[in-house]
Formats: sequence, C-alpha cells, structure tokens
Amino acid sequence: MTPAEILAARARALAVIPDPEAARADRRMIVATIGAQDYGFPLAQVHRIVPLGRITRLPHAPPLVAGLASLAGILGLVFDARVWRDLPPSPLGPKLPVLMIGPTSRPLALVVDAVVRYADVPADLTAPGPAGSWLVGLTAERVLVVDDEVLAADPAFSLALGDLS
Amino acid sequence: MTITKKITLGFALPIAVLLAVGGLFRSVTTRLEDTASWVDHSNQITDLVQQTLTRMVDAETGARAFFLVGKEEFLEPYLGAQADVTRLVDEAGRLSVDNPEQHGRLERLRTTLVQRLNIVATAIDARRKAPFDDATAVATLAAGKVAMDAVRTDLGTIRETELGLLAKRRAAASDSAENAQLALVVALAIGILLSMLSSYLIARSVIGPLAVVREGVDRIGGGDLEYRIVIGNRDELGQLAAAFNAMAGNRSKAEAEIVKRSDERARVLERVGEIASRLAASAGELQATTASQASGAQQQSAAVVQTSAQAAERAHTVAEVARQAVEAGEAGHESLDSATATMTRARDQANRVAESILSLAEQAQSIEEIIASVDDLSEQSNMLALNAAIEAARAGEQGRGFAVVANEMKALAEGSKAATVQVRRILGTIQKQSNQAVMMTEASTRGLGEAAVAATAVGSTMRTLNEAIATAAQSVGQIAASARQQSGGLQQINQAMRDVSAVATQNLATTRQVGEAARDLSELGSSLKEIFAELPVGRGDGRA
Repeated sequence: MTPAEILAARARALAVIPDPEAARADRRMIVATIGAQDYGFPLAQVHRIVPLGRITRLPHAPPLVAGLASLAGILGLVFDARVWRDLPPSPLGPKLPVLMIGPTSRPLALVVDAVVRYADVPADLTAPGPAGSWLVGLTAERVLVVDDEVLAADPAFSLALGDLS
Repeated sequence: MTITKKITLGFALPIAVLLAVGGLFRSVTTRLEDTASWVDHSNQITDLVQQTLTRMVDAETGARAFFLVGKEEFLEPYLGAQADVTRLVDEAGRLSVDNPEQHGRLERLRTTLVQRLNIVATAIDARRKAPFDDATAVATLAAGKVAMDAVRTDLGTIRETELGLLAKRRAAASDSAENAQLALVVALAIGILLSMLSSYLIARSVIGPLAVVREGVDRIGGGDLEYRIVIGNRDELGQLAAAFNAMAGNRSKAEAEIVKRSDERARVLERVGEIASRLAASAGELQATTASQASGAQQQSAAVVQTSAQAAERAHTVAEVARQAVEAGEAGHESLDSATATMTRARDQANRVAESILSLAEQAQSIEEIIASVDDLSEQSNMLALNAAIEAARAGEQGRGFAVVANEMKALAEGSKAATVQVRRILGTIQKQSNQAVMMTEASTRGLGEAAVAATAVGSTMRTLNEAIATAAQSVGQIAASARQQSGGLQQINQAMRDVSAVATQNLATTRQVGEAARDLSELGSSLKEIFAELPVGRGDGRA
C-alpha cells in the first residue's frame, strides 16, 4: 500500500458519519499472549506498552514479581503474567512487551509474552465471567477479556509502578 | 732337498772351512807381528843402554885426560857425552814405560849420571883454575872410577834384564808360529775331509736316481709305455721321473685313441661303401624327382608372383592406415592439450566463482544483521502503533482519525515484520544454496584438478602412444619398403625357379653321372679299407 492509498483510505474513514451503535461498540482491546492463551486488555485502561529493557531481580521477592525496572521514566516493580496465570516464569528479555495498566499515576506493569494486535471487544461475550472477577468474558475468537481495574486492584499486585518513587 | 741346494751346500762347506782357516791364519800372523814388535822394542832399549855406556866411558876418559894434562881438547868427548847421555836415557825410559821395574832403573840411572856429570864438571872447573897435585888427582880419579863402576853395573843390570825379556819374547813368538802351523794343518785336513764327504753324498744322491731315470727312459723309449719310473726323490730328478711317467701315460692313451679311430675309420669306409651303393640306387629316383621338381618350380613361380602382388598391396594399405593413425594421434593430442587448458581455465574460474560465493555469503551475513535491525524497528513500530492506538482510544472521538493512522502504522509494522520474515527465509535459502554452491564449486574445482591431472596423464600417454604409432608407422613404412623389396625378391625367386627348372633338367643328366660316381666311390671305399687294414696301427714302434 502506497502512502497515497493510505491517505485516501484515511480520508474515506474520516468522511464516514459516526454511528451511535458503533460508538457503543467502540470498546477496543489490546490482545496479548500469555503462554498459549490470548488475553484482551481494554484500551481504556491500558495507557502504554513499552519494552521491558533492563530489569533487576529482587532477592526473596515472591515469584509473581519479575523484578525492578525503570519503564518510561517510572521506577517500579514488574509482574510476570505467566506466574499470574500459574505458568512457568517468563524467560525475561529486553524486548518483551510490558503492559502498563490502570491509573497513570500508579500503573500496573505486567510483562507478557507478546502483544499481537488490538481488536474490538464484542458486545456479546460468549462466556461472561463471574461478577467481581477480573475475567469479563470470552470472545468468539477465544480471547479472555480482562477487567483491568479489577486486576489492578488485586492485592497480589499491591505495589504498582511509582510506589517506590 | 733339490739338487741345486745339494750342490750349493757341497761347495759351501769347503768354502766355510777355508774361511775359518783364513781367520786362523790372520790371527796367528797378527800375534807374530806383535811378538816381532816386542823383540825390536827390546833391541832398541839394549842398543840405547849400550850407547849410553859408551858415551859415559868417553866422557870419563876425556875428563881424566884433562885432569892429568889440562888441555881443553881432551874435553871434547866429555862435552859430546854431556849432550847425548841425558837424551839417550830419556828415550830408553820412554820405551820402557810398559815395564815399571825397568823404567824405575832407568830413572835412577839418569839421576846417577846427572850427578856424576855435575861432579866431573866441578872437577873440570877446579882443574882449570889450578893443576891438581898428586893426591887430589889420585882421589879424583879413584872417585871417578868408583862412580863409573857403579854406572857400568847399573847399565849392565838394565841390559841383562832387557836381554832376558828379549829371550822370552822370542820363545813366545816361536811357540805361536808352531801353534799356528799346527792349526793350519788341522784346518786344511778338516776342509779336505768335508769336501770329500759332501762330494760323496751329492754324487750318491744324484747318480743313483739318475741311473734309475736313465733305465726308465730307455724302456719307455723302447716302447714299453706301461713302465713307470719309481724313485723316492723330491728334487728335479723326481720331477723329471714324474714328467716321464706322465708322458708315457699320455702316449699310451694316444695309442689307444689311434687304435680306436682306426677301427672307426674302417667302419666308416664300410659305411661309405654301403652309402655309395644306396646312392647309385637313389640316383634313379632322383631323376624322377628332379623332373617333378622342374614342373613344381614352374607352378611355384606363378604362385610367388601372385603372393608378391598381394603382399605389396596389403603393405601399401597398412602404411596408409598407419599414416592416418599418426594424424589421428596428433589431432587427439592437440585436442587433449586444448581440453587440458580449458579445464585449467575452468578450474581457475571455479575458484573465482567460489571466492565470489563466499563473498556473497559474507554479504548475506551482513544482510542478516540488517534484517535483524529492520525486525527490531518493525517491532518497535508495532509497539508504537499499539501505543498510538491506545492514545487514540483515550482521545475518544477526536482520536478516531489518529486511530486509523495507528492502525495503518501497525499494518505497516506487521507488513515490515512479515517482509523481514520472508527476507530472512529467502536469505536463509540463499545462504543454504550458496553453501551448497561453495561445496559444489569446491568439488568441481577438485574434480577439475583431478581431471587436469588425469588429462595431463592422458596427454603423456597419448604422447607415448603417438610416438609408438609414429614408430609403428615408420616400421610399417619399412615393412612396405621391405614388401616392395620382397616383391622384387620374389620376382628374382620366380626367375630362380625358372632357373631351377632348367637346372633340374640338367640334373637329370648329372644324376646319371652321380650313379656312376657312386659305384666308383663304392669301389674306392673297398680299396681304402684294404689299404688301411694293411697299415700298422701304432703298436710296438710307438708310431701310428
């Protein structure tokens, strides 16, 4: 696709009149892979994705804590999503993506295996999760939609980024 | 011991005896000379003593006359004796040094004489001053007499002693001469006896065996070839006897061989007679055979001509084939040289291709690094697009357009990612194929090298083959030339066969003559047999 085609497509997209139903449906999510499973994190609560970079492991820390790192200028703990999902610890590397979830002042840093795409959160989840759980539901594409706020409020993730600053 | 040594020894013994006699004679002569010398020595001393006594008597007489008369002319004997006496006594003392006793007497005599002369000199001086009175004259003369008597006694003792020694030395010389004479006689007698004994022994050791040899030579010379000379000598006579025995043995064998050959000659003559008879019988058969040969020679002549033509034609064909083989070999060798050069160039090109492929592989490695960078950039772009989408979502409706841009960015990042994956896959394929190409090029280079070596070996072989073909062609050419010569030779053979036919015709007549000659030969054989039978065959007179 040439830049001209991209600009033309963009013009066509901007020329479309917004649909109220579509606005409702404008809930998008970041689809990340943890182990062999895709998880959808709603965009409204994911405010940044950064590469892990250098990380310092902490002695006597719980397995969920991957280590201490400086992400986008904020020093804080990074949690291992694989341990959260009862999987073997992630082989940490500088290029692994870290989802920064929750409020901007105290985001939760969660290192995942990969961020594959972003997609719309369908209105009708095929398997909605239990109330109060971090699991919102399951899409037709077998993506587990996560409630970021509930997840960030989990006591296991009590120390968020910025708490050490 | 050889005869030479015996004769040498026989002469050596008398010579040795003569040498011993000569040595003995020389010893006796030397001793006689010594004795004569000593006798002369004693005579000299005796003579000197006598002269001394005479001088002293003269001196005493002159002095006494001077004492009585007082005239100076009477002192002349005294003055002469005064000069000679001391010299004579000194010379006698020098000669008697070997006899200490005699020498002592002479020394004492010399002192006595000197004292006496001094006393006389004193008296003479006194007489010159004044004439003696009678008493002084008598005393002086009496003293002189006493002194002279003593001198005379001493001189007599010395003289008698020396004469005694002279007598002893003469007796010793006489004894030596007698002993020498006896020794010479005995030595000569021994020499004569030894010479006679050696002559007898030599004659005995030579003459006896010589007589045996002479008898043997007479018997062998008389025809008794079985006789052998038997002597025990190991000298020249023994060798001579052995030589005569060997000669007799060889002569005996020669006689036997002559008898044997005479018998064989008789048998041969009989065989000649038989063959001559058969020859006469065969002469007839030979006539018929000769006629047949004449016709056969004509047929062979025609066959020879045909064979000659075929051989020449085939030789020409072979020579042509050989020439073509030489040309083909040379062309093959040139082609092989060209192929070798081409393979060498191909090997060099393959080496350069391998180097280029290796360079390409290195560059592919660089591309891999670039792809890694692009992949990294695409991931960052993807992450940036995701963050842009997040920001667009946060912006709500106002960020919708930005969301489209973010979406496009993400699509581009994913496209870049997919492109890098595809490029990496293609690059992997290129690397794999380049590795295969390198290995194939290496194998090709190695194969070309081996092929070049093999081509070089083939070239060498072809060169050898060409040389062999050239040699073969040369040989074929020589064969063709030989075939042509043979053709000519066969023509000559053809002519010769015709000549043979003519000669065979002549042989018919000659064969008849041969038959007649065979009969004559048979008769001649019979005559020879009779003649040889009448000849003596080397028995008794030692001649064949």
